[in-house]
Amino acid sequence: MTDIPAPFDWDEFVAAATENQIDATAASRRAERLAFAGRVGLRIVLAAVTILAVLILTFILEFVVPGNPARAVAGPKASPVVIAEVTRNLHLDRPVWQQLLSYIGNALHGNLGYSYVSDQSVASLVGGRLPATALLMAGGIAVELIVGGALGIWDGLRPRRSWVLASLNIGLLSVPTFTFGFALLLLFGYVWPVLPVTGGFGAEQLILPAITLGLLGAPYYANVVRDQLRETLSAPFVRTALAKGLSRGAILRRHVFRIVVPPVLTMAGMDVALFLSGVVFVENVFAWPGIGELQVQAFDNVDRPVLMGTVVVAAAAVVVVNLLVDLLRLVVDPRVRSESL
Amino acid sequence: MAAVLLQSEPTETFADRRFRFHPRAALLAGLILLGALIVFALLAPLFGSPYRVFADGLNAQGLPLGLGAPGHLLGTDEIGRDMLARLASAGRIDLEMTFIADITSMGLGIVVGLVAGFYRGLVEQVLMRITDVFLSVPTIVSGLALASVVGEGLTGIVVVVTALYWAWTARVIYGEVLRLRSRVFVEAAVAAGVPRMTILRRHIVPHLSSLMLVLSALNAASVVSIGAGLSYLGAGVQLPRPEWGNMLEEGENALGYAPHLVVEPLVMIILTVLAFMLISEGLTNRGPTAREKTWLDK
Repeated sequence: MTDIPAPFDWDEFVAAATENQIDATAASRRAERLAFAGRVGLRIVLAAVTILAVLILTFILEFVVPGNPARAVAGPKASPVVIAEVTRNLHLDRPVWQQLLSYIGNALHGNLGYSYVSDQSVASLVGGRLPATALLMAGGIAVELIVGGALGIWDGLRPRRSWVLASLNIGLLSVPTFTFGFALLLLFGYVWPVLPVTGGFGAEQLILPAITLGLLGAPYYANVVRDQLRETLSAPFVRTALAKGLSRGAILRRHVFRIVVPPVLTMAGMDVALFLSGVVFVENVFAWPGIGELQVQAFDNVDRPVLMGTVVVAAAAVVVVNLLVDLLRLVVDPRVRSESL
Repeated sequence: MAAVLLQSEPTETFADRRFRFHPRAALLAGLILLGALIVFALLAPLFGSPYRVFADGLNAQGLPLGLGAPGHLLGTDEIGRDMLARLASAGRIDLEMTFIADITSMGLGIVVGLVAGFYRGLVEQVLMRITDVFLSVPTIVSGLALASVVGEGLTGIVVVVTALYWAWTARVIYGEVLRLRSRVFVEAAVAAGVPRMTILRRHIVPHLSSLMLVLSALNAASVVSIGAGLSYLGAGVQLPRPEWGNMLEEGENALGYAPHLVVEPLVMIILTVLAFMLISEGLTNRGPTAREKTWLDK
């Protein structure tokens, strides 16, 4: 007797197949999650390496290039005895690699050295100035997003690139930050004196510097918003929505802006690096007490620890914000996840 | 349906054409403007010494003369020196600085970008991570720190600007080389046994030439503003040698009673940056996608 094959059970087959399917999906999800974690980990490691490299660069600039840092601390007229003492206090008699390691170790503990001029710690000097700079940058980004967004949407809803925006773009891009600050200061401080020109920390003093920072970045945003908007508007789902009989306003609100807004917001995060450069000029033109003003004071006094400390803090801020923006993009936008680094 | 859609493609009307931004016109305008600035700077000796203090350089109240004063077309500064002579003499040093720093930073960036893009592997990783480090340090903050170490004057500014700006060029060139090296003509050259250096020289670099031109114009625009900006902050070219940036610093305190001391160098800086921006705008090829008609356009 030959074995009679069991009758084909359709339900069993479907159940088995579904189970396999589920297994496969779960496995691929696990692999995806693992790859995702790996990518996040790699970004974090790269950020740490960047900060480390900045520390090494500032160390070289502060202790290796100038020849004798002890003389810089003690002043040009110091006696050899004083210089020897300073050398010992700063551990400058140790080998360079030991100095480097202790410099990095100190920096990781938040100790960036002490100012040559005021004997305050660099960390407290820079930390005291950070809130003002952060406020100024926030103001600048707000102005930039509002003006740039409005211009970009206005231009994006027109069939042709407006010559107004094109000229405005090239015009404002040609204006260096400090130049524009001066123009605003002259206009609103002297010609039509409605705002204070004396500088300092306050709401009234914030208006002009924030406008200076923001307005110069606005045309760039306008261009990005416009390009995104044009691209999204030519997508098929806009045609479908139009065919459904949705109003223009509803199409824009419900379908278009949802796609346009997120990349613009992540760009705002990346602007931190750009703004940290711009603020130096703006703070000096308007006498706004932030890290830019501190940096220029330190430059005038040849106060190297403060100069380098500000660089480290500013670079760390940029790296951290960029990392956050990157991670946010990874989480929010599934398309980015499959991208390679 | 398709035919209807095709017919609804936009046709350019006269009104559209009139207000379009012409790339060629921008390039021409930029070149003319830059030429005019160079001629102005070269003619500096004609306007007299920038250091000469005129006895009639100040008015009865001891204030600087304004625009259009007799003998001093652009007025005088706070101690009675001729602004025209100072602006022209400053222009020399500013343009000199711009051209030198533009060439050095572009050169470094191009070499790094080419090498990183063409020789993959460890070289690429190391070079691009270094580039990332330089991209993440805020320009002016680190520029001041660097300037305090490398010193003042023209060389100082050139070193600082080169150190700060090469990475941007390197990044762009690197990306473009990556795109080019996967193209078929490179593959064909490899298959034909052409040496790598020859491929780089004959197939990659020529494709990058127009991009390099656009980048160097853009780079020059940044170099002008950063160079003048650093001088304004006290680094770079030092007084009494006039430079647009340090003239701003000098005139800053007179903003209330002699605004022309600030406005004139400002205008010079803006014109120079504008010239380079116009050139780069004129050289850039805008893609046709920016002019596609969308579904919401009537």
